[in-house]
Amino acid sequence: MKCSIVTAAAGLFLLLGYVTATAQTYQIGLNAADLASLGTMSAEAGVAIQRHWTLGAKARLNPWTFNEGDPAEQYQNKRQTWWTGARYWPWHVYSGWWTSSGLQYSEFNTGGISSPLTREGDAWGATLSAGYSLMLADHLNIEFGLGFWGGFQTYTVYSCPVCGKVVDSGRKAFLLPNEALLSLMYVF
Amino acid sequence: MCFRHFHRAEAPLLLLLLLVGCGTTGRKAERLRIDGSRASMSLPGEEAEAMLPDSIPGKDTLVVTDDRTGAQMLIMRAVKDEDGEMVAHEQLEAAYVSARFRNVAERNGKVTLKFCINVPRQMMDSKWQLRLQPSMEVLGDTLRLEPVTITGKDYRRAQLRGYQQYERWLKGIVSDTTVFIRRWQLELFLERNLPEVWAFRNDSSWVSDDEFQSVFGVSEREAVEHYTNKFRRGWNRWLISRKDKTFRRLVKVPIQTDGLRLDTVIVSEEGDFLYEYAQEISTRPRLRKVDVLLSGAIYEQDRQVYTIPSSDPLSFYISSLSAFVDPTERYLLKIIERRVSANTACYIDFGSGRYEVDESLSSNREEIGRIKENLKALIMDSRFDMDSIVVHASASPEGSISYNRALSAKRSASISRYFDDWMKALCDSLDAQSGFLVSEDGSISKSESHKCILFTSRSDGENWRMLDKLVQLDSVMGPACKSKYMEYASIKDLDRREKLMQKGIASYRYMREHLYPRLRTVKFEFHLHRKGMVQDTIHTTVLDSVYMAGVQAIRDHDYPTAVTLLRPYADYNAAVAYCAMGYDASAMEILRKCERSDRVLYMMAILHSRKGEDREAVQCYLSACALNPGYVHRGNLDPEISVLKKRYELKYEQLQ
Repeated sequence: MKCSIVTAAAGLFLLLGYVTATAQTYQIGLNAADLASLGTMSAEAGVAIQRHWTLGAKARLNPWTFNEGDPAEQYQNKRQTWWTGARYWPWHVYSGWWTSSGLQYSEFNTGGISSPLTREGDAWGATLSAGYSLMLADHLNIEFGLGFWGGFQTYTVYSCPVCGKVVDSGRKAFLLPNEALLSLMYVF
Repeated sequence: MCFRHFHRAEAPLLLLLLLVGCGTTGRKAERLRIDGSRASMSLPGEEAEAMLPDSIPGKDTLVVTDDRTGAQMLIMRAVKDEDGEMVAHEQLEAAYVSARFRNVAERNGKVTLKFCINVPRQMMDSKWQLRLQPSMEVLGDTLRLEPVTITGKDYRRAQLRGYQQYERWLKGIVSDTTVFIRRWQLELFLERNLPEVWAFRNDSSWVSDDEFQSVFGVSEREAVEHYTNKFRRGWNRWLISRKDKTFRRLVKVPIQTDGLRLDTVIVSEEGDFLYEYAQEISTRPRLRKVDVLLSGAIYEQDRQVYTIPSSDPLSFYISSLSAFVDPTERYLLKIIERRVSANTACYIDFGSGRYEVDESLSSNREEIGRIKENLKALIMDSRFDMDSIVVHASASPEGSISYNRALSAKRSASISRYFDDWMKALCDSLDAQSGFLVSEDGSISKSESHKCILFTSRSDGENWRMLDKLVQLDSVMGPACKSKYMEYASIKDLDRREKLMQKGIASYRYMREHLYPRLRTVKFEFHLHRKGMVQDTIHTTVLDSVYMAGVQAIRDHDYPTAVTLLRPYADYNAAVAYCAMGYDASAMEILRKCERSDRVLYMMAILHSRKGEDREAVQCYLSACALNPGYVHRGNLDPEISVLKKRYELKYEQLQ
């Protein structure tokens, strides 16, 4: 599974590079805040197509399971999230305020953090975020941001991280906070 | 206060009133108003007038009404006289009279007025500012002199506090507008997106915005504007716009530094304030008296608390040396001759070998026109009658001398004829214009017709003299040619001279083309005489206007002009001008030669006194007074004499 994710990520980058050969500046980065949510690794890439617009793609991956095997102690926030979308910068790309929206697919398996109920499923939706990009150095930005998303998810709720007993399952709409950004971006 | 009606409830109210009723300054102002206090002026060297209330003179005589009978009785002071009788005696109390006028002497066109301003103690307070405004009345105009300000310590402190507050407020204004730019972000932005501009950041040469734009079309100016904190900049601008208003709000009464004679801060309120005010004014003609008045006001903070009523005026009477000027008129002798002459020259070109006047040839029209104008002007001039006009024509040297002589004679005759005809036509037309005069009794007379003028023509032959001069002054001919010409000039035979020059001088062609035409001149000599004059010369006297202008300048106190105008005359009036300007030695030199009249003696007294020769000065002065007793009093008006009078105690009786 890990292999396929990495391949997919690499493929996405290449795809982006191929599509946007005419643009001038690129940005890649990672979100430190995500790490706080039980070690989610994230990578983001963007490309500026115009003074006020960038296109971007982001992937988040959390493969970690903590205290695996122990039904009482095990907790995880496993997920893989794929996002693609556009950002609008009112002043100029890669400096100042921005808002973004896009489409996101997320596959998740979360449980054992506050209660043993484990929710597993996948979600599709549209995201809306806003934030600020502060230039730190010639090629370095630090980004702050908040976002939420809404859409549909199919889920199954188990009674504990390792149990098989289904407590609930179904499809429903949702509106949830999506991300908190505190990321370091490299602009080139 | 009626204590019977003092209720308990009223007590706090009364206390409140007492407190509110006035700070001490309010009461003080009230007191001033009641008293009608004023600042006074006095002449220096005298006792300052004390602020005494008007004293009621003691009465010697009382009128008493008898209660019972209703009869009135006069009770008077009585003394015993030599016979032993009781005699009524009236005694007048001496009134205190202070001089309110002074004589000042004008010297060098200026007069110094000196007076003392006395401000009584009760008008000064540490919270107050007194502004005293002296003014003077000069020939009906009232001129304000520089004011004198007396500021109390607390008043000044409040003023300074206002300034300090303003200074503090000013500190909030940012003068360097680059403070508002977020430099860090701006520089990073430029580094990233406008690398060419960034590369030039240390180069101060100016580049237009269009040249450097980022990839996405952002210019440097836009970037700078974006990274400026517009709110802070706007706020700063608003503060700057409110500078004046804030100054007026915080500094209610600015400290005046110029236009003031004095601004003193009083520290203690003991004693009156005495200030000697000296003002120099320039005198004008007919200025005899200047009145000085004092007014003013007292200010607390920024409002007026009390207006000082105007004081009585102080008069200064101005005396001047210009009174000594001798106004008799002076005349100049003028000799008027009957005969007058004028002349003019012109260049009239003739065709080669021809002698008729051809107006269309080269510049003949202008030259002839000019002569005609001159002639017309002389004919129309009513002061003169024309007697004759002599025309001299000269020729240039080419050709034989006899031929040239004949030709120039013919030419001058032709010119004479030409102008003669023209003049006749002119005279006729002028006569026709001048018309008839109809006198009161109905008789018609024709105005006198213009006499016709005699034209004489002369021929000068070849004009060698002029050629000599032209060659000398010429700048084109070389020194070799010139010396050759000089050599040939010694040859008496003019024809031969001409031939040799033609062959020998290299620049002969130049001479022929440029210098010869200038030799063909025609000179007009006009001989006129004054109309209506029979004698050859008349001697008349005319008012010497220069001299009279000099005398008037002395009267107008404009001594430098008077000296310039009267210097060549070197007489009594010149001496007066010198004396007024301070040129004592020159004045004395002239006066010594003058006849010793009273004026001369008095002027000499002044001059001696200026030099310090007291004995001679007193001598002259006494002689002057002996001749003219009026100078006894005049001596008080001139400082040079009054000083002598005081020093040697020349009393009125001595001078009789």
